[in-house]
Amino acid sequence: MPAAVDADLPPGTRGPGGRIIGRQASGRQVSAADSGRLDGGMSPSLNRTVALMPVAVALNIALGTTVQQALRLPIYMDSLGTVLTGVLAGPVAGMVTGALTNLIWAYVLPAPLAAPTAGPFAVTAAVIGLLAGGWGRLGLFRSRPVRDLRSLGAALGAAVAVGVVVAYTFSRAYASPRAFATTTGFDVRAFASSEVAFAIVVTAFVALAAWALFVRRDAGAMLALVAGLATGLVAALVSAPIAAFVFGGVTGFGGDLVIAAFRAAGASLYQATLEQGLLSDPLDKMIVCLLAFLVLSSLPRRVVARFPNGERLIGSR
Amino acid sequence: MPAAEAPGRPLGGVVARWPSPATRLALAVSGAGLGLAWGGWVAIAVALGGAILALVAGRGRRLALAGLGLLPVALSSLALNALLPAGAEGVGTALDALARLLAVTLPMTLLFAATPLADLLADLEARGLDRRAVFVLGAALAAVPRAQERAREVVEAQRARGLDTEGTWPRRLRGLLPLVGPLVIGSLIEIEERALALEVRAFAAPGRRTPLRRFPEGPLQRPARWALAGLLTAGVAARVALRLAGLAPPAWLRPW
Amino acid sequence: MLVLDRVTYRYPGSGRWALPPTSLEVRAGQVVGVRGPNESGKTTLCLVASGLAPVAIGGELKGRALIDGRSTLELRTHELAQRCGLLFDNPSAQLTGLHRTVAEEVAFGPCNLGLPPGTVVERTEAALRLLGIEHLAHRDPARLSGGETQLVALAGLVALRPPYLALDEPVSRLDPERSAQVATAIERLAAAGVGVLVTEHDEELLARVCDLVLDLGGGG
Repeated sequence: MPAAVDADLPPGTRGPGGRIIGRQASGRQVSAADSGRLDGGMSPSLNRTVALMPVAVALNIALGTTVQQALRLPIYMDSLGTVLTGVLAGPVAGMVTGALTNLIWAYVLPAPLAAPTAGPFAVTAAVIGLLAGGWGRLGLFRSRPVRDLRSLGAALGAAVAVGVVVAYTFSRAYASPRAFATTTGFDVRAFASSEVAFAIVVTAFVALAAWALFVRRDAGAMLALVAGLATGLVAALVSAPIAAFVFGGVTGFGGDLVIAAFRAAGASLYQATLEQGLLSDPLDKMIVCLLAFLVLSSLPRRVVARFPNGERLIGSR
Repeated sequence: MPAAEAPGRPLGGVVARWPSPATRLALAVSGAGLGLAWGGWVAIAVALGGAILALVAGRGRRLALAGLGLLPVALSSLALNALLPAGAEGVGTALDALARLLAVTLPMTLLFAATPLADLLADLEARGLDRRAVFVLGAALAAVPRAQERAREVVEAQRARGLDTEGTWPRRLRGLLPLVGPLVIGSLIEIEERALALEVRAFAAPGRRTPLRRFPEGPLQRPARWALAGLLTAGVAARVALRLAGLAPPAWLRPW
Repeated sequence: MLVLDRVTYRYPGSGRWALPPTSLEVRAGQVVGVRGPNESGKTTLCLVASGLAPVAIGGELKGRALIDGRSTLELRTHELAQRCGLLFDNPSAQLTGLHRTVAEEVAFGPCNLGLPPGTVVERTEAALRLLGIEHLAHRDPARLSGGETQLVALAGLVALRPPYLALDEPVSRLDPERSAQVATAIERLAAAGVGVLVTEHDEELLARVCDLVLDLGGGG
């Protein structure tokens, strides 16, 4: 009569950190990578990505509609799913998720939900997903305690590096129209005129970084924040020509008054949109990336580990 | 919109759609692409063509709603460019941008208003699209109402626990994580089960899947698609070449 | 016969063995129940029986899991799907959401195998009939009750004609009336010659459908 047997666990098979030591004679070790090669067809990691992407797209849209309406904050959380997918499953998955979100939202969803203005910005969304894939590969969204001085150093170093790039970009963007078109160097006077915008972004960054380092005590959170800042910068740079080309230099999402102000000061089509974008996108993406980090660190380890990029996200928890 | 199925048999069958979904896709994409690249009369022609087709196909209302969705942007752009021109032609810039926007929006909206996504995916799969792409595209659309429902539930649940969604912005900001967190985490944890559910239905099997619906088409449609693809490629390449050479498009293509 | 011979399993990256060494057999037409407290490894047992652990999710398996004499380790996931199906406890996560009718949803499996259209239709109709849900064929899968969804998911598995099924807490999210529907379906499956492994808390279900009930992590 068959029975379920309750026996001692096999001795000596557990090593430090749970790694498997050797093979048992009666058993056969199959790792996730091996079974992928065993199968031929589709590897298991790939099917998680295939299952993830539709969920992430729907999440983007739900966050951008229902949650957006509930909180009414000027944050476009509709890139959170894209960032998560990029970080968990790589750049290509991130790009597809981003582009698909905007295309479905603009053209496929039925009338009350459809947002046709989102369509052209599918390019921006794809770039955000691509960058997130890069950040994930670099292991930026991993938890790193502040005590680890190397992590702290890396975080601060990254912040300084990105800060320099941001300052340069602001100086170029806020330069006089003539300077914007002709010079490529750091323009001190133009930088002075971008003071307000730059100050806003920097204040937000410092406040969130302080929270990350002193309240959360996680250098990984700060790195995620820096990644967000960089992502926001790139998003603004990508969106500005799209807005100029297809929307006549407005963005259609509010902030058009800000654009008007910049235009009144003499900025060109692309320049005014860029200046507005540089204000809103870095703030928005910093928060989204920080949220992505917090979400990832609350997920059970085993859930994260089984995604293609999962191993790089399991830090010291 | 009910699928065209033989009575009494809920599965499969031959569906008569003219032109076939794949051809519709080719038309929409090439129209949108050319209109976007060239602006001016090309964009206007594409937009008008889309509008007329929509009326003929009975989708006028849907397209009108899409147009309404673009109205705020259009007005904002016209006002801004007329009052604070950022270059030589204020209103001209706004109109050109609007034409491009319509040239992209109208054909794409019409495509999906007149063709169920499932039909388009079935046709593309029969022509060789990978089953994983078909799944991702189809499942993404289907997941949207579910995700919104879940979001509504999370919002209600958190409000009942005292989450403030009406107060000052710092308070609303603090509501971000309690709303976003459960929603996202719940969705991600389910992924494992969904991936396994696919395996258990032999999704990873090699070879081509059995098509349940077929969209027969006349002999002209396939060459027509190739022609459209060629036209799109040539058109975009020509425009890019002009741009790179610093030349403007010929005057007869530009109404403003 | 579905045979588990002193199987124990560990998830990838985990130090802990999620399943105590277990042995059991399921014959054609037999319903074997397994009960145990939460976290005792019931889900893992189903994953091992269906071969998904370790073939689809990796990890380490010790002992042998054999389906009609073949080790699950030798098979690919689509081959496993045709030998032992697996039903989860969350009804809605198992439907693809792609299909407008229940019939198309059930046909998903056979279509994935590339079977001829006639065979697909035949298997779909047979599966719906066996579970007594022909009346749902034209319905929208997204608008079904939990119990109906569970039956549709089950039909989707049955359409692949596996000789065995592993059901992981199939009624844990259902009310008593729906649970009874699932119980009836299990009886019909067993009568048709399918060997069924069921893990459950619900004593009523176990008492009603099982020929044999085992305890996981306890005595025999």
